[in-house]
Amino acid sequence: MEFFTIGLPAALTIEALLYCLAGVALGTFIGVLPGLGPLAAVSLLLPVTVYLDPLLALIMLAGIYYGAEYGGAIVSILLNMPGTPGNAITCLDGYPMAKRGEAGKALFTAAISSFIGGAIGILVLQFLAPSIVTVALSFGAAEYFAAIVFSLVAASTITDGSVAKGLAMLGAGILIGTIGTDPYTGVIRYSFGQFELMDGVTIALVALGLFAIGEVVMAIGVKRDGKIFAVKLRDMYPSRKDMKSLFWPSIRGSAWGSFFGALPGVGPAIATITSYATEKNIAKNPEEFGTGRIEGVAGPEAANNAAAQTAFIPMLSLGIPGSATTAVMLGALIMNGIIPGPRLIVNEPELFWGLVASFWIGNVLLLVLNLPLIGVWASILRIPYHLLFPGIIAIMCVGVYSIHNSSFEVLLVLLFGLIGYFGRLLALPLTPLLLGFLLGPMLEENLRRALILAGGDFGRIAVRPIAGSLLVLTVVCLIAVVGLGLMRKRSNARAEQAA
Amino acid sequence: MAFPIRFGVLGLGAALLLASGVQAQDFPTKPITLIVPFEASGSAPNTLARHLADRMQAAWGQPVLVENRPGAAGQVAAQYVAGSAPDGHTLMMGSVATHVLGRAMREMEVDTLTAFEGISLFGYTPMLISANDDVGIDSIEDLVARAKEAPNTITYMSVGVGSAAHLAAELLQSVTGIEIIHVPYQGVAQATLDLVSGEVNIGFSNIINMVQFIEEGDVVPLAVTDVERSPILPDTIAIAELYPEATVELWWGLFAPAGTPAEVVDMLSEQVNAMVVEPDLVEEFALGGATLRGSGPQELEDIVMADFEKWSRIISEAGIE
Amino acid sequence: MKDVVGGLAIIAFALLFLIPGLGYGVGSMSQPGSGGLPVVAAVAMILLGLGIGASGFIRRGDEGQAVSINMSRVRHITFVGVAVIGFAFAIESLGLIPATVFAVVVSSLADPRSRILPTLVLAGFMILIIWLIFKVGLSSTAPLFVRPF
Repeated sequence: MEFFTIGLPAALTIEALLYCLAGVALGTFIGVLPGLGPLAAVSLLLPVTVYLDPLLALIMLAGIYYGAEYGGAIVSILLNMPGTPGNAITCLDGYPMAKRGEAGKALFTAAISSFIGGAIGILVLQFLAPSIVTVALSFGAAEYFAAIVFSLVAASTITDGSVAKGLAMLGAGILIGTIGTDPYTGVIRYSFGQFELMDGVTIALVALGLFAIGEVVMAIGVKRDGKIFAVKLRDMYPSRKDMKSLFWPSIRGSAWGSFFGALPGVGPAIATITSYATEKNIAKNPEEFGTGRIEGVAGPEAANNAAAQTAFIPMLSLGIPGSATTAVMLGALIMNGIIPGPRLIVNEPELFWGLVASFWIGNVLLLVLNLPLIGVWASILRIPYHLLFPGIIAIMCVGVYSIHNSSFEVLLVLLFGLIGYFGRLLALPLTPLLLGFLLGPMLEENLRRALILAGGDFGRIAVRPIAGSLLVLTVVCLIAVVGLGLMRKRSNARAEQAA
Repeated sequence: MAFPIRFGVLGLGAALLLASGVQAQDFPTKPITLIVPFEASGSAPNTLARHLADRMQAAWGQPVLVENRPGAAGQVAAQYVAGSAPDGHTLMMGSVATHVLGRAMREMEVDTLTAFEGISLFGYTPMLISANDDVGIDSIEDLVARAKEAPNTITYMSVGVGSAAHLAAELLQSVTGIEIIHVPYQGVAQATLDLVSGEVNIGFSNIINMVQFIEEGDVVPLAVTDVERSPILPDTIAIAELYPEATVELWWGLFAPAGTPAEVVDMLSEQVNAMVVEPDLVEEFALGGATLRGSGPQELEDIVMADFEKWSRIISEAGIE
Repeated sequence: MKDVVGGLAIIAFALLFLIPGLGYGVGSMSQPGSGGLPVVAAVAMILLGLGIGASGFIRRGDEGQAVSINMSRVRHITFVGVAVIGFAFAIESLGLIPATVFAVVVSSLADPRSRILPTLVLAGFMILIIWLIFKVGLSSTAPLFVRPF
């Protein structure tokens, strides 16, 4: 009910609609633009959002986030370059379709599946988040500690990359998060002789360095496939058969996306991989995947958009980020003086329901932007990169300086940029670093507070029903993931022996 | 990394000083910058700074810029202002936190006791001591009796070791001889929520944050740390009624770099003192729980030194750091 | 090689935090100290770094293990780095406009395809955008030009 009484009126004001449109258009633009992802874009806008009404700021930032998943599909299909990590799998069948002259069909599939995924994701968010809140309202420090441990373990083990590297980068993030004055002892940690570090570093600096500078520099000098396939609206008109073959993969993809997206710290990439594997497994001719099957575009595209929406569940109901980008958005909330946590939905119903309503509006706007206006986006691909990145660097510098009028923070961003750049060169994952940076201090604070309140007895934390069950769940997950990994290795080895 | 910038600013400042040769009758000769060491927001020091900027601009015809340079407990701003030319064109909105508490806790990059000239006080706000409703403590006497009966069982929240809330609590413990458990928080918001939900028993906070929860009945006010009762909570006692030594005033004051000519300091002090008696401003701030009060330059410096001695004593007694 | 270097980088980073961290004190269970979490995190990173480095050493011949550092990569990061550092110093001593021009021009040198005229046009365009967003929109106090005297 609140959706209609509070959410829609808040999201249907002229201002809110404009910010929503600006967000999704900018998101599509960023998604299409190689070398700049939604994370970098959201971080770039952080300094600006401090001056905005929190609801408008969130509507815009969120629009960039899910808009980029739509836009990213366009480059994946037309250029074989993933616009965002969540679109990487889309290249596998989308690009072959474009090469075959079916670019229009592939783009249409991507847009419709994205919309289906987005819609299902929002529905899940709309019903799940408020019910989580009713439980989470009784959360104390002990429960938070357990929930954060669960998120950290989920974030670093449910991944398509190396678990060891993920955990190591998580550690790096936790260490960066400890910089500054420790509120529990007054000790100034890791200021490295710079008194400016007494207050620690803000998430805007870390995110901008890792993702804006890092990505921008990586993309300089990348050779692009010369040919960009032309698309016309007329090519996009679908046949009945196309509609049929995209529907069920989209539904299954949405289910995977909703599930993985809602897990704290687990990004959309893993959902797209699972969705693709599912479609391939149940197909009659799995060998056709990779040659341009509609199902190979529909499933992953639905999955990444569903995940983009459900990533807001842990963020809005618990104050724990569901992905790296929602982590930055949490930063925006905090900078606006709003405390994330279960009370957010209770205390600021307009913020929550207004945002949910704006997701519906934004997804409809994206459908419009992506179907009739596809030619505009395709032409953006023709802007040479060397005329974009110096502008991005300049605007980032000004943005960072304007947060606190601090040159020191501009230099600090460069330092994180170096970490981001060399991390990419060495294939070290950066998302766990950002999550560790945000979750580490929360973990430490809640553990220490829980210990003080329990008189130093960890047993008294573990016997609290919710905290205890979350900790048990974490251990079970850890055993399951490690066990599955071992089994997979063994069966692979057996398969190799047999062959 | 900070060194070259710092010397750049110093060099520029010295050059300016030589070039102009400061004389009061020339003041102000160029735009004045008023540095606020807190995040840009609608908080009291920001509002005061903007009001003062408007009045100085109207009186002297030179633009006055309010610039936020938050960070490092005010040290980022202190370093910038202390390193500027001492000619009255760069000023700092200071507070007990930026000019006294940090320095009382530890050696600082900029020694705020010696690097500044006091200009004038703006005013102050007391703190509110309150209890969660379920704890069953409804007065300071109750709190003291309960804590004496069972020391180290009652918990209180603050925003970190060395924060004003923590030191106010240490002061109360020192004056009353009770012992209660400190639960530090990273931020005010979470601390407030946990007091309201009952995760901690007692809160030390500003008044205005708590009014809503007092009205809703989740939080019981025990005392304001002032000599007089607050007009916002007329039924809540002032702590001085029971413990005259346990008062805490969180003040704001205007500061200039050390060495600023006395005539310039006096001109600025007059502006502030004229502003803090304007009736509509006084009322506006009273609604927010703050009392406006000006002072002479020397009086502000005396307050700084007296507070420094008081808080240094509490910090060493409590064994912090 | 990639994972060998990566493992070593992880270990170096962890040591940078482990050594001061040992001095922060672990505290007790009822009053946990400042050193606990950093020391645990740093030690875990060192162990993981050793594992990553060792497995990289074993697979050092693999295709994915090649580190592609060449002169053009050095050029990219150097010019962008100098652009940002220069901006940080120019913004306070020269002002917003000179700092923006510096950042655009110097970072454009990272890409050999950049030409001077289009870059200057871009710099002018960026000044306009930045003026609109930060001066007009957000009323930033950063001066457009710093008056030398």
